[in-house]
Amino acid sequence: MYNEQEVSIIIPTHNRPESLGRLLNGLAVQDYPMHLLEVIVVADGCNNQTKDIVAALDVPYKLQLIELTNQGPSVARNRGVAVAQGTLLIFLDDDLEPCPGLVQAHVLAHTIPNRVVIGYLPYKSTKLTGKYITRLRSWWESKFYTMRQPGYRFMYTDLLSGNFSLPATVFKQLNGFEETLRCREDYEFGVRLIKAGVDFYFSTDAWAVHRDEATDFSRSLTRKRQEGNADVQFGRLHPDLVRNLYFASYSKRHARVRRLLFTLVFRVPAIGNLFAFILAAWVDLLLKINSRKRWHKYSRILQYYWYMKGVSDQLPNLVQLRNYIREYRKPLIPVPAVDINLDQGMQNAEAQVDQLRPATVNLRYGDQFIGIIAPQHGAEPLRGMHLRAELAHRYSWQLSQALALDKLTADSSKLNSQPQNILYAN
Amino acid sequence: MQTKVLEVELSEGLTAIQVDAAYKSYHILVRYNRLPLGWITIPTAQVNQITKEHLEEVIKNKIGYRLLHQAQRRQFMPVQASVPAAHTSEGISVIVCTRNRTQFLARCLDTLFTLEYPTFEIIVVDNAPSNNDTLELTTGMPVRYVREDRPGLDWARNRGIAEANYSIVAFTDDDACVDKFWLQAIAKTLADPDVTAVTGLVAPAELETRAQHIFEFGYGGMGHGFSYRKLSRKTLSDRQMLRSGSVGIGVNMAFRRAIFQQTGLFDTALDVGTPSCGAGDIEMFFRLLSKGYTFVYDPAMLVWHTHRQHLPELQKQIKDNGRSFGCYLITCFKNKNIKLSSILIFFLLDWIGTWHFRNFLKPRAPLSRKFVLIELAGMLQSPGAYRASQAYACKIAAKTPSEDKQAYIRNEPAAPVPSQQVQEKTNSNA
Amino acid sequence: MATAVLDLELENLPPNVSVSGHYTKAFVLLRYKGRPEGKIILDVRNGIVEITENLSKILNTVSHTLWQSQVHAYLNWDEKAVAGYTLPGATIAVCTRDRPDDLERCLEALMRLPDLGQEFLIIDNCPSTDATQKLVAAYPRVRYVREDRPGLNVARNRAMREASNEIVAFTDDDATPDAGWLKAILLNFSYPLVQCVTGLTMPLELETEAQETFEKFTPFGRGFRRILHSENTLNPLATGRIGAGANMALRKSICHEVGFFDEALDAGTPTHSGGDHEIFTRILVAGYTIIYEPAALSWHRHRRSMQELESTLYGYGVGVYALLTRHLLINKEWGVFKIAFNWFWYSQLKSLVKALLKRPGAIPAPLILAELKGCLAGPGLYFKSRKKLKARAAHV
Repeated sequence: MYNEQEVSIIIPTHNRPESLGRLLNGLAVQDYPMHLLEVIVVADGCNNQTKDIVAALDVPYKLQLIELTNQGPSVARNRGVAVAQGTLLIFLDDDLEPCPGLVQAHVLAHTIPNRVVIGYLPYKSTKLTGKYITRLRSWWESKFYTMRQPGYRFMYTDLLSGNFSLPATVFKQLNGFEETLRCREDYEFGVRLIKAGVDFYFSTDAWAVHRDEATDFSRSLTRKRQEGNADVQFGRLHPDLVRNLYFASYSKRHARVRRLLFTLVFRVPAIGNLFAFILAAWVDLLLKINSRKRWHKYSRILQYYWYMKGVSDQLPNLVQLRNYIREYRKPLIPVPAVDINLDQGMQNAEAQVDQLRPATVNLRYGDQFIGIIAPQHGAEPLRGMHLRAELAHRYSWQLSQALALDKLTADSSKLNSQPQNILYAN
Repeated sequence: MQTKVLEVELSEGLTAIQVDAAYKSYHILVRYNRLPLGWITIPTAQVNQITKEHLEEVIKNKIGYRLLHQAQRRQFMPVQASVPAAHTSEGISVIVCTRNRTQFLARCLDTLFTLEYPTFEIIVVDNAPSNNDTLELTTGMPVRYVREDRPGLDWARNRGIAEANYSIVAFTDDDACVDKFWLQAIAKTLADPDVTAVTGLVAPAELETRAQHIFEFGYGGMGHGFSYRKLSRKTLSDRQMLRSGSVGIGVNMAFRRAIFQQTGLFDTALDVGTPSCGAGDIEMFFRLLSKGYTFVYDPAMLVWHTHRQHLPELQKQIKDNGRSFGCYLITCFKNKNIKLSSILIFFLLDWIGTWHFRNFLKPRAPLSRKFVLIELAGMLQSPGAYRASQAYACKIAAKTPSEDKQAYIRNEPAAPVPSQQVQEKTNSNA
Repeated sequence: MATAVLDLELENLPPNVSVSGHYTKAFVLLRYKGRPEGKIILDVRNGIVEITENLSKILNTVSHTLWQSQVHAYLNWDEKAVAGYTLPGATIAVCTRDRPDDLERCLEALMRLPDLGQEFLIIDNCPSTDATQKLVAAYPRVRYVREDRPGLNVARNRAMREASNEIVAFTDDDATPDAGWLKAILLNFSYPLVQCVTGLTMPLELETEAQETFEKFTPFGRGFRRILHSENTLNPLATGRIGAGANMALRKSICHEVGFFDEALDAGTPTHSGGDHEIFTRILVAGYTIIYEPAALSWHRHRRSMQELESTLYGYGVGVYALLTRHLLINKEWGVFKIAFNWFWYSQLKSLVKALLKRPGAIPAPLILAELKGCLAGPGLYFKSRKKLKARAAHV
């Protein structure tokens, strides 16, 4: 199983020399044969400091530096891969502090050829007193925790580009990251991986501490704007996933303030900006007086505003937005569902699903219908282990009913032979 | 409009049901090991059979919790108890009071003959009949015919108690059909020494006419749900007690005969045949409760009742309900078992406030506001009716020899008499 | 008027249970495959608790959780069993003060726990005799630490510092943990954001009226569902429903992030209680999660006499208001006024009126009055406690 292979680590970086140095030092103490290790640092629009740090380091592995002029992480990663020699590619962000077993854990996790391994990133920040950072940490941790859960069904959104590995052949087959995107490029790559039938795997052993010192609430708003912008481009590339995008699911169900902001963004952007300015002041005040619940509410609204602002950068008015959604939001193509019967035992049913790998399944117990696992766009095809999770979460009530009814009606032949005693209950 | 009433037994397995085209929907009582679990209604206008899958689906949606409960019961029943203990099968006297309704009575007696129980007798009390049809019908049947000439259902009931030979008396009406396991259910509940009386589920025998639909679905029918309840003064407030009395239904009730010695017999000023037009049964249950006795509502004790078929009959019945319930409250007050304030609060808040007001504001589907007004009219008549029926009762009582009144409350139950002999005795009497 | 306490497994129910003659009622804990699913109070007739007869009643009380447990058992499913999780090491800490009899029962129960590599730590808080030290000497696996400054929270802080494992599980000296207690707690730490786990506490005995009253009106149990509490689902200032310090476990590292237990609070100081609930607030505000896990079961011996019960309730009143004072004073949490008002208006006032009207099922009036008295004294006693603390620190 342990298959020693040449590994190339690609690290795109942008003006973070200190954390880059920490990462490179961390890689120098890996439990992995150093002659099989190659590190490629892609300095994207960096000043000379980065270059100096890399040059000054004395590391036991092969270290290469590529310099680019601020072309974004997708281009950086692709350039890195272009010069990589290894058969396995590991992508790391520059703000990580790897565990000593990181590389080995990645290599060990590739037990089957067509697999992408996503590593665990415990979140650490020096600004943990900030409310926003604790929320961000919750987001990261809960995301990783759900991925660890038994029977988790992976989606394209689970490809977090901070710490993942895949065989070089797969990367080249898929032509790497989409270079037109500066944000959401990981999701987009994830979509193509899922569509190519690549297996997703989450490894807790391949962990690296995510030392996030840059993020704070005001930066997150800029990021939201980029995300809104990128989501529109993403939708153009994958029209079948437009329905998953947040802005495309805009509806009347939104709260009043959001509806107002939505209108302002697309109709009177000037007033919208003023409104956002006032809102930002209000959010700051809420944090000062420890009004947490309201802070969560209004900070999310503010993020929503900047996200929509990003969308409006691409689609400046409502007509264009409507046309965009109309063009891409086509009705779903019905997928034939496979009938899986549970009355032959769970293992049997799981084996059946594992063999067929269907997109959607009708769950039955005997002749009773339990439920349907609906086709999910951008998710991997079903596996046997997904059944238990779906049954335990969504269909537990239906399953318990089916089991009860089955138990009560099953022994009809037995009862008739019994003497006429009172068996009923009060 | 017609609805077919059916029952399915889960332990016998479910099968598809062929639909009779004459019916628009099916109203099905679901039972498991004879215990009624609940009703399901399936519209059948467009289909010619109810498939097994559909039936299962509806059962799970409607009575899912009860299914689970029964399955858990089976699973967790203590090991030793899985063989049911032999219940003391005390003898039971079944009393059917009738008056000039031979067709109904014949059907009722047919079901009584199919009862599965070791020792019981059937007593038919013919209440002030205007012809000899009932006598002729029962001649040759294994039942005891008793004629009670004083008009009034409670006179007939009291007569039935007097004639009974066994220590448990069970009552049903001539327009009802009993379930095969009716007496078993009664015996099982009364095996508990705390319980003095038991009443049970009343299901509609048929839903053929609009009047029957209105009564069952709009007015609420006669059923009181599918959960076993033990009612006693200890756990109930006064208002709840007044309401609980009305859980008892004359068409499906059973008592220990000895209890009448402590509480007295049915109030002869009440119920059908007197101006009060009803409430003899609920007044009895209330009296039991107020004197500290326990009574049980057991859904396993099942009777199928044929509701009034025609609208005028239904209107009369609902008017009678209003009138008799008023008489019931007045009787409760006169008997001084409960504070006047409780009765007044119950009258204003629960009966008028909740029941009438809610029904009037938002009548349930087939019920129209007319019926609420009719019931209210009945209610307004109740003080007059109460006075009239008191006078009437006194008049009849005056005619009755005094020793006759108490004679039938015996301490010792008489030795069980086999039905055959009873038959001969009645014949010779006639 | 005593109540027998029974512990029954649904899969293995006896038809009836005989109990000692002086019991008139039975408090039954119901479990399914070892997991607590519900509790019920049954009548005792002639020294016998009928189970078969009350089966429907029993099943009705567990119906909310049992079906789900059954499905999970059928599927062989456990949501806590995430990939790549091994149980962390644990230190079981018992803070005690001059109660060797209770402590012995507790230690016996602890010795019966299956070995998960745990360490046992007894913090003897300002003892007046050496009885505890002698008792602990008989248990070679147990480490004895003496803490001379009085206060339960002082002892807790000492335990947090002394513990050599990642998880510190606290139990009171008057509680006896169930065999599956530690494992149930440790399984919940698979989620990295979980910093604290609290468990279900059931009465060890209900022999006196005081114990019955306590269990009826202010039980430690918080239901039979596993609940994840976080800032989003619970107001961090209202931590009463999370659980109690008699049955809780914390990550050792949390003290470096949110600080140690407030030594001006809890037993042994003028404020009597509230130390556990105060740290719950800080954990939640820091964005972490606290899990209430009913499978982590412990049996607690409630106070036996009515007088002790009254002073306990007085202590609760003091503790709550003391910790609210602390939140306002140190963290500038203006929400405490709302909490205090809600508690008074929706709970205390209601029960007081009920008690004064002598409604059936009302809490005895002296108990509510004691609690209210405690509430009034709370803020003052908190300042007094802080002053005392400062004086002692200056003295040392």
